[in-house]
Formats: sequence, structure tokens, C-alpha cells
Amino acid sequence: MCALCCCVYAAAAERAKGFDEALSKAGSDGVAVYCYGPDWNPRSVRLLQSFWNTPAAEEAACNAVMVAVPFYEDNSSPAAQKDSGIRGSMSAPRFQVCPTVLLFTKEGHLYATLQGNDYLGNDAKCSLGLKNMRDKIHALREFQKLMQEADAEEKTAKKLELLGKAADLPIDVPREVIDRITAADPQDKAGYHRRITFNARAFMYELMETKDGFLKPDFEPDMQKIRKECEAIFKSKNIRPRDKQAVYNLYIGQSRREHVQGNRLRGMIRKSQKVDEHTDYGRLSPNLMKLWGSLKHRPTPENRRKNAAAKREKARQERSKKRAERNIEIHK
Amino acid sequence: MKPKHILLLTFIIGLSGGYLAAPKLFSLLSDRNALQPEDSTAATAPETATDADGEMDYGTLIGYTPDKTPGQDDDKAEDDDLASLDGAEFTDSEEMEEEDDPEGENTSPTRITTYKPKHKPTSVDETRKPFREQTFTGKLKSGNWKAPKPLKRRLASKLRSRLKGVDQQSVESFLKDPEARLMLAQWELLNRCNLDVLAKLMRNNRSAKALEPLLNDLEWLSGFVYDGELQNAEIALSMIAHFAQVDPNMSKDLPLDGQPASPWLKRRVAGAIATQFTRNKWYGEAPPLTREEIAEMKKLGYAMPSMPDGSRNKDKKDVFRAARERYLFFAESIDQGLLHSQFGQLPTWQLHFVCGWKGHSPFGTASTMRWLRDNCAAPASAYVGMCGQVPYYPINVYGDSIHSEWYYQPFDVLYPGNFAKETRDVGAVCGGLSHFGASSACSFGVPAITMGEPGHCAYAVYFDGKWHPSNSIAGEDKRSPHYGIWGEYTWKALQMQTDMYEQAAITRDAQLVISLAGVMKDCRNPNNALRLYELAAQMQPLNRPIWAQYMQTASGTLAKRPRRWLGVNEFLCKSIAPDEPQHCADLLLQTVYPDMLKALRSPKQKLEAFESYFRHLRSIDNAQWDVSALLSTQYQSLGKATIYKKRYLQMLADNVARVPEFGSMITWAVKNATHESKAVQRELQEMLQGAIATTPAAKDLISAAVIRAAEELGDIEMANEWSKDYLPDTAGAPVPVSAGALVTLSSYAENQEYILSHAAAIAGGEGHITSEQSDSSQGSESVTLVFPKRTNLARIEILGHGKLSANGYLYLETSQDGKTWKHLIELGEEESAESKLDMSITKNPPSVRYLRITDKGMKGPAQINFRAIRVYDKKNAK
Repeated sequence: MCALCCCVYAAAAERAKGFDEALSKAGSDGVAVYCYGPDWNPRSVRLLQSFWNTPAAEEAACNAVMVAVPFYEDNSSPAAQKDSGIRGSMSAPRFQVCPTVLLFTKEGHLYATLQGNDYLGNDAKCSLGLKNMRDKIHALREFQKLMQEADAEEKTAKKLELLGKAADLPIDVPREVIDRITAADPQDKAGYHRRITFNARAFMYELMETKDGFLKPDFEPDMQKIRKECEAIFKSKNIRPRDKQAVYNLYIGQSRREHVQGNRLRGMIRKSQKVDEHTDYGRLSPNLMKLWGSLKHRPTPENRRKNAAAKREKARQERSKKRAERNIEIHK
Repeated sequence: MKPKHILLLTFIIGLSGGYLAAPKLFSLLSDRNALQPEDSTAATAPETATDADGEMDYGTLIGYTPDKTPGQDDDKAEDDDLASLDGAEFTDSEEMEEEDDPEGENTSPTRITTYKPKHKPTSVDETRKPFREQTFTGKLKSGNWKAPKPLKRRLASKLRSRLKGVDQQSVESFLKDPEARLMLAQWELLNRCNLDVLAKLMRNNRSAKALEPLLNDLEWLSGFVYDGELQNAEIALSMIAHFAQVDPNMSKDLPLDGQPASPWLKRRVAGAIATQFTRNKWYGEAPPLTREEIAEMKKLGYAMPSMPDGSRNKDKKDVFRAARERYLFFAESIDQGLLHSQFGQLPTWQLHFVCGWKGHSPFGTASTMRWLRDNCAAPASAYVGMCGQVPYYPINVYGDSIHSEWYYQPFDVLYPGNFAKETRDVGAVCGGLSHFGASSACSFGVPAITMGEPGHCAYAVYFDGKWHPSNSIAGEDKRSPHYGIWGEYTWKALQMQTDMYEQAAITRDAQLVISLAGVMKDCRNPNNALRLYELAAQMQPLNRPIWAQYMQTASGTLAKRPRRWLGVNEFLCKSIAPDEPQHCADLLLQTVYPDMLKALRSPKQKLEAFESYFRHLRSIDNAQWDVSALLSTQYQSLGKATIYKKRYLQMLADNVARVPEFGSMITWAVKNATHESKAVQRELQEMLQGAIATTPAAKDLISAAVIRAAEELGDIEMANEWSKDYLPDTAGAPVPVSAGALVTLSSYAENQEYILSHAAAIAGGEGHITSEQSDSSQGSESVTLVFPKRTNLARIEILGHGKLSANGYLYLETSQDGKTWKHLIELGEEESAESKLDMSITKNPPSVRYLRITDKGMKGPAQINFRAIRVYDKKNAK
């Protein structure tokens, strides 16, 4: 059986002339789209031959149906008119960057975008692109397998675990997964919903009492509250490691601004690093320990005097304001 | 005999042979200008700056101080190549000049017939093509450039001999000759160079060899000289010489099929990069070179001429290294075909935007541009949305503000040398977003530019023949592009430059005519120079550099010729004022008035000159520009005689009805009249009433202008007098005590209807008390109510158009004298977001003369925008 499966998976991809045709032919591996610019991007045109139209690409695309979609600079040109049907129902990507490989499920959901050299590589054969394409399609298969198992599973806890695993795969999971988690656990007792939808930046803005990231001029952070909330997230089992680090970073940054220094600050950075050393926050931690660990804050007597005077002046203004406003009544 | 001596002997023999073999050269040398006393240092010392291997003596170059003192030339350099260009006879320049009129009264610019280009551009391709002629390659050998001063003189002499007259026909005939055009471009290059530095550069055999084909390439040289802001030509040339050394393919000959093959394109790219990287501004922003770096650059063969400001080499900035990296980036991109397909067809002026993109910014490093090219390649039109790849985060994940040093620094280790990727991953605000968008476009060969806006940064991308703004929040008049070919950084100037360069053929002709005028000027023939400038200005009236140079020449030539000045003034006003009134006013103020007003002694003549501007005005085009500078200059130049001042004011009043936007001039006139006698003030009021009587349609315009002047002056009486026709009908309703007060705003939204409604808005009715938006979120805007007498504030009602404050807090303060302010109340974010404030002061309401309401923008620009402000005292508070 395994051998049969391997044979099926090893089969080379099929090709289609247009996106809609590809979708109609698509099996479980979905559709792989190569975006190129015939009248503006010569490199993407060259890659069409050296990368996309090669057996290596067919092999990397597994069973996905392959289609090359042109994006023209001049949509009114005869060539653009002639090719206008190729894109069909495919929605235009937000940034029309070429060369790009877009991977769709058979339902038409975009689950991976391999844009530019960072994902495709800078050689003519796009070796990195071949590897990435293969990896993403395998991740999709894993996702589909987990979803099937979740469907078959009767125990809610196990089902949620499978759905949670599926959501953690390195592809853009469809909204459907979140809906199914919500249906299985409306109160989010297991915490999977929060894990998937947690937005570290929104959480941070809430702590900093801002809606758009601009801090109020008179904002004075409540360190106790920040520490408490960040620690809680940090200890939570249902937060992804990178999100934990992001939230804890706010606490680190705020501590630095409050003049926490030396070993104490380095310890905090190390604590964040240990969560996952491979994330960007984990990788920059050693440098951060160097940068911030050596900072020394020693307020000069002059600064101390200035700060005290500023505090007194502020308090005086507050008192004056209150006195004046005591007699004012605002009608709603 | 040492090899060095043999070389020197060969050189001298060669020179002698050249003289014998070129009799025409003799006539050239016997030309009047060529016989001026000269210094022979350059001819006797070419070898002193060059060692046996032809390497440049950098010690000599480094210690060099710029010196353009005339008369230190060498006329003994070899120039057999120049002499062999053609067999023209060299004529005295005076022969073609008209009989000189000592007073200059008979030579009015109006005598010149209007320029009618015979080759109007008919298609896009033709307008984009810089030349009507075939590509032309000259034969001037690099040896001539070793002594640039005599070369410049000889070129000038030759050009003068070819030009048969300064009328349109003669000039057109002259411009048909590609060889003449090349010589003109070569002369212009020499004119812009520090010739001593250039001589040292060209004595380096490798540099000379690399530059020779470029300096003989008509199209390349014209693009290099005319299509950018060429400020330090000799430094730019030394950069190009270095590019040619690191990339031997750059200087390959042009293909003959007319297709812009890679080497041809790379020449233009090299020129654009060198021009941009040697602009004066960039020197100051680049870090200074270390001693080791200077040593390294010497090894690499860089020429290190002095800075324009005369500073020595140890203070030189690192522009060469950045420029080389930039050139190599584009050379590699061209060779490998990694840029937008249209890049090869971009005209040279657009290459300045693309290839010269911010070399002093982290977004302009080669590694950043390489990443953008490889990861953000998109169709040109898609770049207007490219900034959306960067998330808008005013604080980073550590809570550090974008304005702090710690926003990017922790992440630098993950993105060495790649600021674009770092920005995309870490976040940015408007500046980072716009730089990302523009930088990604330029990195892929699409012209783009960043622009400053009040409290904001935007960018624009060029495609479909025009600039498309992106991430922009301000109107056109508030955009300041970060680069402009004329050195003028306004959106309007950018559009004008673009329009001008789109008419490539006419523009090039006009530029060449300016150079021709420069030749005349250099040969001390200012009258012909003036006529050529006039011809160039007629060819392209909106070409600002023409006017600047024209007026510069006129200022020295027409000092005592008032009639001629009036002619120049009329010519300028007639050519520009109808379509570009602000541009015209700027030119008048900056280039014409300083000298013309000295030449015109009679106020009557001055009035005649000023009237010319108003007569040709069709509209003020854009009411945002400050017209008062022009008016004040004109008015003050009339002296103390009241009669001329009255005539001037009458002239303004007469024009109000004709040009609706004259309102700002009326405001100026009313305000200005306060410095005059009561009689003048009264007469002005009568003039304005008279203008309304003659043209009732102008009533609102004049009233608004006078009310605004009254508000700015704090004249309650005048404001009430002119506002009485605009009061609301509030029959039965309690009249607030604010009725009859004076509204003054910190700035005024340019809408006359708003000003007319001020009286109604404080008298129980509604209107628009609206200021402009402040420049940034740190700015504030305010409105002050000045009561005729001390007024008791028992209740204050403020109605907004939407929110009372869109972005911040409102502060209410009171004062007795308008100087010392007392806090009344502060409205927080929530209260300011309401559309109405109705407050009562229950205990001891203050009795004051001033009430000020200030919007302090916190999250964005501040703006006062109220529908009504009503103040009630104790009696009618309920």
C-alpha cells in the first residue's frame, strides 16, 4: 500500500493552459501557478523555460496541475488580449511581483506564495524554488491528512489536537480550520482558537493604551501590569513560541526604558531566546544581550534635579487645572 | 636618455609637426581671443603630473585648490584633430553683431520674431528621441583635453565662426550641423568644469583613453551636460573614467543599427550616476573618508579633486565608493537582463531618477537595491502600491518608537546591508514605506521619487508619461519632491521639467542655444548673448534655467537701459504670466527686479512694469503661494510719493473683477494700507466700494479679502462693517454675546465663503470657522474670539463639522490682554471626538476680552473646523 502511495505521489504533474482548466483538473495537490511578466520582466520569461517548463519542476510540483499565468504591463496590447483568458477566475495577487509561484488548493484557496529570489533562488533552475514548492505541497498533504483524521475522530480533545496541529503547519491555512475549532470548542477551553488567532501586536497596543501605535504624550506605562500580562502570555501553553517571544519583548523593552540593566536585562533576553532559538527574535538575542546588556544608566545630579522640578511643575499645573474645572459643567 | 625624456621629445616633435601639418590651426591660433596673454604652465608641465606609467600624481591633485583665474591658459597643446574638423574661416564675432546702440533703447526684445520650430514632434517616439539628427561621433583626440583652457577658447572661436547670425534662421541652420552641436556640448562641458582639475584628470592616460569615446559621442555628451543637475562636472568625469576602468565593456562603440545595446546604455547610466553622486548636496551627507580609505582609493585609481567649497582632501566624502557600487549594480543588471524591459528606452533625464536614486540613503546601497530588484520586481504601475508590503508600525516589538535609535538597531544583525528587507520585516512609518516603494521601483529600473509633505513622506512613480503620487495625503502644492533637475524641489517644478523633457527635440535645441549664448557671453559679446537667450526663451518659455541665465546676463548688460529693461519685463510677463503666474512672480523677484528697479528711476516707469504683470495674468493659478512678497516689493519700490501708491492700489482694485483670485492681493493691500496715511486708507476703501459698484459679482470676493485683512489686523470695526451683509436671521433666538466679536485664526483655509461666514458662525447662525491643517501632529491650530469689551463667559457652545477635533485635544483659554493666557478647560480625546460642546461655568464665570480655542494634534495634524461658536453671558445663558 505504501509503495502504491509512493508511486502515486511520485507521478509528475500535469499541465494546463489556464487557471480555470487547472482547477477543474486539480487533485488533492491543487494547482501550482507560475506568474511572469512577458512584456516587462525578461528574467521571469527566461525562467519560464529554464525552471518552470522543465521535468524538475514537474517533479517538484508532485501531483499539482501546473499553469503559467502572464501579467502584462500593457493590458491593452494584442498579446495581453490574446492571453486574457489564462488567468480566468484567479484573483490578482496584492503585489504583482514576478517571478512568483502561487500554490492553490483544489478549492482555489491560496496556501503558499513563493515570491522572488528569497523563495525561488537566484539560479536559472530555481533550485530553492523547487525545494520550497515540494515542501509546501507536502505540507498541504500533511494538512489534508490531519483534517481527515480530525473528521474521523470522535473525541473532542483529540480532534482539537489534530486541528491545532494542522493549523501550525507552515502554510496559510483556510479559515475553515478556525471555524471547525470554534464549532468543536465554542468556549475555547482547550485554547486552540486563541493560539491560532492571537495577535501579539494588538495585545501589545492594548497594553500601551494605543489603537494605532502612536503613544499618547502623557502615557505612563504601568510596569506591574505589563509584567503580569506578559508573564501570563509567556507561561501560557496555547501561544505559539514566536508570539510568546514577541509579547515578552515588550516587557524587555519596557524594562530597559525603566533602566533595568546588566545581568537582569540579559537574563530576560536569554529567557525569551530559550523559547525558540530559531525564530528571528531568538536569533537576534545574542546581539541584543551585547547591545543592551552593557547599557548603564546613571542619572546625573543635574538630571535628577531637572526631573524633580518637572514633576513639581506638572503637579502644580494639575492642581490649577482641577481648580478651574471644578466650576465647569458640561451638558451632554 | 631616459624613457621619460624620449617621451617628452616625441611630444614636442609631435606638436611641431602638428603646426606644420595644419595650416588652419595657425589661423585659429591667430584668432583675436587666442592671442590673449596666457600662461604656458599647462603645456610645459603635462608630464609633471604624470609618472612614467601614465598614472596620475595624486599628491598633486590632492593638494590642488580650485582656481579659475582667466589668462593662465596654454595655447601650445596639440590640436591637429580639432583643426581637421572642418575648414571654416574664422571671422570676427563683431561682424555678425548689429550696429551697437549705445543707449540700447532701440533694441527691444519685441523685435525678435516668435520662434517657430520647423520640426514639431509628431509622435511619442520622436519626442523621446533626444536628437533629430543621426548619432554623431567626433574625432577630437584625448590629447586636446589635456589643455582644456585653450581648447575651450578654440571651440568658442570655431563656434562663432560657424554661426552666421543670431536670428532664428541662422541659429536653426547652425543647429542642423551635428558637428556644431557636438562642439557646443563640448564647450558647455568645459564651461562647467574646473579646468585645472580636468587637465590633471586627462593627463592620466587611462582616464583619457576611457573618456575619449564618450566626449566625442554627441548623444552621450549632450545627455551628460544637459539632462541633469551637473554641478561638479570634472569630479563626475573622473568617476566615469573609473567606471570605465572597472567595466571595460562600458566604452565599446555604439551599434549602428540604432538599437540601444548594452554598452550604449551603460554609458548613459554611468553619466547619470556620476552626475547625481557629485551633486553638492550629497557631499555633505556622506561620511568622511578615513585615511585608510583615501589610501585605498588612490590605489584603485580614483581622482580626488578638491571640494567645491575649497575644503581639502582629508575632508572629502565617500561618494566614489558608493557611486562605483551603484554603477556595478546597474551594469550587472543590464548585462544579465534583470531590469524592467523599458529601462533601455528611458531617456537620460529619467535615468537620473532611476540610477541616481538616493546614494546617501540606506535604501540606496547596492545590496539593498539588489534585494529589491530580485524580490519586488513588478510592472511599473504596480509600484504605486508597493509600499503596502511594509507594515505601518510606529513602535517596534520592543515598544521603542520609530524615532528612537533602538527601533531598527536590534534587528540590524539579521539584515546586514539590506535595509529594505529589514524595513519590510520590522515595520516603518510613512518615510520607510515611501522609501521602500520608490526604492523598489528604481531598483528595477522604473523612475520614482520620494516627496516631503507636511508631517508626512510620500512618493511618486513615473509611468504612462506622468508622475503618479502614492502614499500621499497632501495637495499638489504641498508636495516637495526630493530631487529636481533644476534644483527646484516642488511638485509643480517636477511637472514642468517632465513636460519640458517630454518635448525632447525642442528642449535640446533650447539648451544648445543657451550654450551658444554662453559662448557669446564668454567672448564678451553680451548683446548677441542676450538675443540668443531671448530666442531660447521664446522656444521654451517655461524653461526656468533659460530665464535665470538670461536675467543674469541682462543684469550686467542693461544696467543703464531702462527702456530695454521694460522690454525684457514685458517679454517675461507675456511669455509666462498667463500660464504660470507664480513661476513668473518668482523670476521677477529673483532675477528681474533686483537690477531692473535700479535701472528704472521714475516711479511711472516702475508702475508700467508692474502693470505688465497684472495685465497678462489670467488667474493666480494656485492661491496657496504667497503673493504678498511680490506686491510688497513692487509697492515699496514706488517710494514715498502718495500719488503712485494710490495708482498702484487702484491698479489692484481694477483687476479684482477680472481675476477672481485677486482676493489675496486685496487682503495684502488693506493690511499694507495701515502703514499709510488715513487718506490712503480711506481712498482704498472707496476704490474697493467702487469696484463692487462697477462689478457686483466681485462683492463676495472683495468683502472676504477685506474681512480677512481686518481679522489679521485685529480691526473689529472694519470686520463688522464689511460683515453686516452676511449676518444670519436669528429672529426670536437669544443672541449670543459673541455676536460682533472678531474671529482670528492661526491659519486660514483658502475659501472665501468660509471667511464670509465667520460673523454668522459666532452670532447664532452657522458657518465655517476653519483653519488649515497643521504641518504635523506636533503642530497646533487655534481660533481666537476678540470681544469688543470685557465679556462675561457663562456658557460656551461649540459645534463642529463632524468631530470637534479629528486628531487631538482641545484647550480653551481666556485672556484680558491677548498675551497672558489662563487655562479654562481641557477636552480629552473622548470629549474632543464629540460633534458638540455645551458647557456652563457655574461659579464665578470669568469676564474677559479674549477666548482662545486650540487644537493640539496628537495623533495627526491639528485643524480648527467649527460650525459655530456661541458665547453667552449670565443674562442669556439659559
